[in-house]
Amino acid sequence: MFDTSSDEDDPRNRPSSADPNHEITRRLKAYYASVEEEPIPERFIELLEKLDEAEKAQSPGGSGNDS
Amino acid sequence: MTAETLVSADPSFKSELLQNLSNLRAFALSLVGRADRADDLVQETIMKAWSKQESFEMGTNMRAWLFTILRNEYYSRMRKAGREVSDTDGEYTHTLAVHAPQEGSMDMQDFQKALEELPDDQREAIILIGASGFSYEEAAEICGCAVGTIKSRVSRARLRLQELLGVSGHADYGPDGNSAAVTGRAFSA
Repeated sequence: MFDTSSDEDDPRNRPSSADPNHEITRRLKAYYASVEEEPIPERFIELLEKLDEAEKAQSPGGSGNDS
Repeated sequence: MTAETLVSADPSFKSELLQNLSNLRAFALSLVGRADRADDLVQETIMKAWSKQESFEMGTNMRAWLFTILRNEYYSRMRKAGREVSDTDGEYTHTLAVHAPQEGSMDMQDFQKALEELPDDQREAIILIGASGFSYEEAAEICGCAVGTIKSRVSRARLRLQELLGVSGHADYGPDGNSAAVTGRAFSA
């Protein structure tokens, strides 16, 4: 979530708001973040649970897969 | 073979996938512009990723791996849809911004519309670099092209967005009464 490794858009380099590139990046980030902040839809969590259960049912014995 | 490679339903695969979902959704929506299509794409990606999980090496970059799957799915749908949906597409474009993030919606909707105007390759490049948090190298790998290609797509995308949004540096930005008022409010809040 919090990517501190990239210095590409390091806030320390934040230029004056007159830099058009900065303005574009700021708006892009705000747009993206507004989606990212939404809770994960229930359907995806259910889907993952189902996939997980189906897989467990397919391979009884779980991780001990010795033959 | 070690015991580890035999573990099929690796619980950390699931949890890592979950951790990446929000970012993946944001990528999908930025790419397609419609919430329902974006979530279909995410769902397909989850299923594909799940069925291919043996090919994923834990500890490597799952985010990049998932984005690659989603992107491939997106383009293969586009190719299919190109034949079938082309004439109904006009109707859809009007509902593009429906999802419109709740707050600051005008700004967001304008931005989303502008994003839609970009060619696919430029749009994905600027999203991956400017918002998803990938390096140029990672983005190049996701898109299957050279680093230099990503760089030039990003800069073309920036220019185009500046045009579309009327952000063109000093003159346009500073003295605009509207945005000054908004900024003022944001700061005093």
